[in-house]
Amino acid sequence: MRELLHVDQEYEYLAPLKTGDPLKVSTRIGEIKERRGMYFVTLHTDVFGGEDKKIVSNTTFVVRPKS
Amino acid sequence: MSFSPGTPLQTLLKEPFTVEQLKEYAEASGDHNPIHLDEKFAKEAGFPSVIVHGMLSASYLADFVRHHFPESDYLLVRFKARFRKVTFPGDRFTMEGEVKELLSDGRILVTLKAKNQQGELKIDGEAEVRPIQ
Repeated sequence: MRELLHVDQEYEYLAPLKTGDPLKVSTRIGEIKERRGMYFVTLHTDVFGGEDKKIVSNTTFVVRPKS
Repeated sequence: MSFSPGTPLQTLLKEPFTVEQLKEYAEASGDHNPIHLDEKFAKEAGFPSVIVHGMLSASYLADFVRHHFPESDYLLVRFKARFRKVTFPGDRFTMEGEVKELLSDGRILVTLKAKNQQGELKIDGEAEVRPIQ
């Protein structure tokens, strides 16, 4: 059955990215919540352009166990 | 142009999503999940047909924000989309929005909705824009 769906996406643009900015993207697992047998998993991502954090992203997936 | 809380944004009607478009979006985005491309796979997963990539459908809301707050005049500082219902090829979005709040440093908070031709809410979300000085 359905296993994984994207349910929520948020971006915060802290500063504009510029041409030539070296990018570093780092994602970590944030919250995991269980609701009615489904797991809501939120990933937090930081995008650095050079030394500065430029974009923050929060992504939530719902994961359903295989039935 | 000045905005105040409660100001509705003029609605925008888009063209329906198509299967061909999902193939193109898969190529452009690198998201080749068969749930978006393979009818048989999607049906086996319990859907009536392939489903539209969430980020493709969300891009219509971002486009709606840009329609009202163009890049030449506003920075987009935050964008959030909540996928309320799965979107299918043939769904045709009408976008709605409203100025919710005027925040500090001139930011404008708007709430966003994408509904299909049956009036089903597919995505809701919000965005913050800041006028370029």
